[in-house]
Amino acid sequence: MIDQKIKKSCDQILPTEIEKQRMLAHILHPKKKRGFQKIWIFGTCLTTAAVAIFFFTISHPTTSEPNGVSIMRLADYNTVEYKGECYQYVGNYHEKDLKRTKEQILGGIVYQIKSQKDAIVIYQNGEYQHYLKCKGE
Amino acid sequence: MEGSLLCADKEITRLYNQYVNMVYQICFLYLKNKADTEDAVQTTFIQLLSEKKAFQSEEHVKAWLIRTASNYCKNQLKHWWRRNKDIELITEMGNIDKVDHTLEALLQLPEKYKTVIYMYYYMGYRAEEIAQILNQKHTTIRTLLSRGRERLKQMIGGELS
Repeated sequence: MIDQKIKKSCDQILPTEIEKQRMLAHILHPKKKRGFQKIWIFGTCLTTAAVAIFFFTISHPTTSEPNGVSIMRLADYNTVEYKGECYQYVGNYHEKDLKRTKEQILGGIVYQIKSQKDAIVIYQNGEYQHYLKCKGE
Repeated sequence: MEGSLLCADKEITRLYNQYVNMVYQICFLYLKNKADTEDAVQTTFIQLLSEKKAFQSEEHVKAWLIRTASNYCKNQLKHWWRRNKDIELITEMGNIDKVDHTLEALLQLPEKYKTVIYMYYYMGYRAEEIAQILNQKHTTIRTLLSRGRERLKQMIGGELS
């Protein structure tokens, strides 16, 4: 009794001939997947992360607090010029923020930090300015 | 029968013609609509095409198809998108003119009973054979059959007793 009823019910669930042919065609000649594939999503995320890390790295170079003991005077008072681009140290010791500057640094007294060959300290107008990652003469 | 049965489109076409109705019915019992069922049937046979395993017999292929189709459908039902979608089964039955009470009850059965009930009552497998095909204990299959039958009875209102 039960099996007859279930058989009768399941016999209602059958694909039509057209549906069968359509499915067979898809099986024998499957279409390429459409839309975003996982590899593209992964690749895009990876590239974005790499670009973000690159820009973060160039805008936040490692630095240390200018230390009065370790700086060395390179030139005589009022006679030295420094031409080049630097990152200017603008924060306090804990924040260590750096601001990129494209202005040429001219005049003042130039000091170089012993432990950091590309860092300089310039004494100008009664203040010390600390620059890092300097390229110039 | 030694070696793989699956070496050509011809062979796949033969297996497809032989088992498409069975796979379609199993998938429909789970997915309850024609579009998803067609996708499931296609995926099952595409997996059969790419299957590296050598099948020992026709019965082995049949068992593989039943298991793969029901596993695929269960996975589809677990998908987050599907869990949030309310599917109205009756309106999507397409070519099925009249949905009887038994079929409605079958479709509403919990997933774990469907394959077992279908295999036992429709395909005529014994509980031991179902256990072997689905790789489950014989006692588990007996329990599922008994509970599934009870549920059907409750839904149909004692009509099956």
